[in-house]
Amino acid sequence: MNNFAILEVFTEYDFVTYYTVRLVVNDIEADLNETDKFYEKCNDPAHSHHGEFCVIVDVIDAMGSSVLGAQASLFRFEEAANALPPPVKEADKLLDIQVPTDSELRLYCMRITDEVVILINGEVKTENNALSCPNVKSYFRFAQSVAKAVDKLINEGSIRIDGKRIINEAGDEEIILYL
Amino acid sequence: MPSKFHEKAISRITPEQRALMVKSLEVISQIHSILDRKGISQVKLAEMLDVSPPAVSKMLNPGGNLELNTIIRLELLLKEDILNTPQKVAKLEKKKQENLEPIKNRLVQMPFMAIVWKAGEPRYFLEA
Repeated sequence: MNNFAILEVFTEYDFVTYYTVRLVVNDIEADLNETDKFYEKCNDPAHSHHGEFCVIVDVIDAMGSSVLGAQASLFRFEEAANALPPPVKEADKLLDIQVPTDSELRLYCMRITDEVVILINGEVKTENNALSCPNVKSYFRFAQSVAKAVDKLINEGSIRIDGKRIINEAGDEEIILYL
Repeated sequence: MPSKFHEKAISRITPEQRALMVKSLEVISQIHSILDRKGISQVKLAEMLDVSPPAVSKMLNPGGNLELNTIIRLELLLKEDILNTPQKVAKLEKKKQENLEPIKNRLVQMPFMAIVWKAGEPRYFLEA
């Protein structure tokens, strides 16, 4: 019985590669990767936070299309991981995108460099502290696990960042995260 | 294989909207980078421009529609380029290469040379 996650490319832009993770539980691969799950539930005009979802997509699209890439200031710090949308002040400063001041939707992620970001999953956050929020608690914890697993692999030299790609010791992109 | 969910989500973004977001991100980021490097706060910039701080804040917010004449005024005040056309960048690069050419030629003509360079100190070229 094996439970792990596979790192895979979510979408690639000129200046940023966005990765995501696909869970494998009891040796069975999930039908959707984690970020597709987020998009599937939020990209619905009837969703209570569809407008906020569109803002997050706009930010992902703008960062990927700009030579500046995924600047650290455009991400929220969430312990070992990160989240989108950007803090309002930074979004106002740099993007032609209005992030609502009371934005509640969170997409947890891990910004590794200006060129590499791992998008994960998220939900509507209803409490100030992520761990006190029943909606996002599990996504927050999962993002921490992913971020720590990736950091560990980088630190022990099992994977490295090569421009816009994450590659393993053999030089290919098959990367498994034991969470 | 890009995510079909992402492709669908970005299909509503027009090329014009994307270009505006990207250009806006790059121009405003460039201005902030110059201000940070020169240690100029937005309040100080307001004084330099003889406008109120909220006016500067509005100007540096992409929604504030930063106009070309404002960018030129900022370039003159900050004594740095904010917008450069590819033509100008190519010409500047060519000029830089031309300026380096005599130095390169001089180095080639030196029969034997040692380079002594310690971090934080100027470089010395010593002929043996």
